[in-house]
Amino acid sequence: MTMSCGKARRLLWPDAGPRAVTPEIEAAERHLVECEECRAFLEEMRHLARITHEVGPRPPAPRAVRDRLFQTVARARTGSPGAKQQAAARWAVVAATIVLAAGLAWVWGSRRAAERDPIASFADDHMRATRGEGIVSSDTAVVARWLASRLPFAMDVPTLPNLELRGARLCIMDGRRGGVVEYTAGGRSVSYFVVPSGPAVRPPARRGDDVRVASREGYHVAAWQEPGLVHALVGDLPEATLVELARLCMAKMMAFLDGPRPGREAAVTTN
Amino acid sequence: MRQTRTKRIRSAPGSSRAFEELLSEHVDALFGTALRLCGGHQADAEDLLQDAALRAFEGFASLREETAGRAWLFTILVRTHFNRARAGRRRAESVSSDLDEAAFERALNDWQPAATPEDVLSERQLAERIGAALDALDHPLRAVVHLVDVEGFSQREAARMLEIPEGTVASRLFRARRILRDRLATTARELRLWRPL
Repeated sequence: MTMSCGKARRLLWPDAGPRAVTPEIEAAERHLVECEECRAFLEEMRHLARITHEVGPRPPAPRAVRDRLFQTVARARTGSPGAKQQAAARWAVVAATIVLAAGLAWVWGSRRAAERDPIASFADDHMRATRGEGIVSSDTAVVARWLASRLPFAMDVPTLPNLELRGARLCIMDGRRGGVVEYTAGGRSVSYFVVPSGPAVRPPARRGDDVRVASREGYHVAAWQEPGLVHALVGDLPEATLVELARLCMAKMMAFLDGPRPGREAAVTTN
Repeated sequence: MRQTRTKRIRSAPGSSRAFEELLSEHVDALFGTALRLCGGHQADAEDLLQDAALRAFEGFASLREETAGRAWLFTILVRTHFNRARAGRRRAESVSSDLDEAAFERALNDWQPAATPEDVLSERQLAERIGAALDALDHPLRAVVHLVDVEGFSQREAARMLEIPEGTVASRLFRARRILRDRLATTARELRLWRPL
């Protein structure tokens, strides 16, 4: 063996990735065949790397950390200045009140609703919203910023034909915070929910762009999903109109992601 | 072995939703890395993660190859960390005792085999000890061993992220593994679990 163990180990270092076969590498490989200690060294390096990879610490991000992170990103997305802390604190009090009230109402309601279709909870929340508080504004940007500072995910505020933007609020479903955009249409109210998927907020059974429809006490729900989120439009508009609006929301969502797709809004009426 | 996978971004590349999907997919690993880089201090790790996420959001439109999103996010996290360390007048990217080629060969030459730690420690004990041993490593060694051994990046990827030569990554890996092994062995001996080969 003419090559030193140190040089052979450096040349055959296991993390180096693919290497050209040079005379020096060939000499190192010949050294390895004859040197048990070098074989043990390389095996031990691989072994230490393997156990560190397999059982090394990978703590998940705590939920609060995750929420704060996505709220920060959402604020950056909507251009909300981070310095508006006084306003944020004021709205935090309002939001906390809403969340508490919604939570209590949810607990009360869930006691007698174990057998319900989970989708009906959208209709319940829509009805509760007539007594709720949040932000009152017809300005899409203002509403989007309000939601962005409170939700751990991106929520679009779509402009829908014949619907007038009224404001937004938060909702709690299965302990998960969601957003609700409120509209009016000729005196009727329509709510657009976006909530994280969860055990009690199950997405529609079918995938793709299918809209699932349900009714409860005169209110219709048109719900659809994207990965991780459930969307629902709720109101007492005719079911077909609500479904058409739901499809328009989906199209707008895609347009938001892929580019504009004009020409569909005129087809929807809210009679 | 745990597998690291990179999913395709479902939303349109460059959109804010696509960014949030990418971030959501890797947020746990990024947090874990931030935690290790910050020596186990959660508040510092969260601060670093937020800073890195904002930088990534601002630069997301420049990410052309969506399958490279994971390495791109980690690169931003690591560089943000070292930029902050530099701002704190710490030379984080180089170690005075980094080994040159000859010194690396001498160190490799001196290696002595030992019993493997998982022979004597349970998986939970091992995970705790590895976490503690990682946090006790010098800063640059910790970054290298976490990126390569824990997160599974290649030596070349880690070198690009840290902006150091591959040979330096190799020598830091070796030194970090040697320290990890010695600390794990010490722990096992303290627990009277150690049995030599």
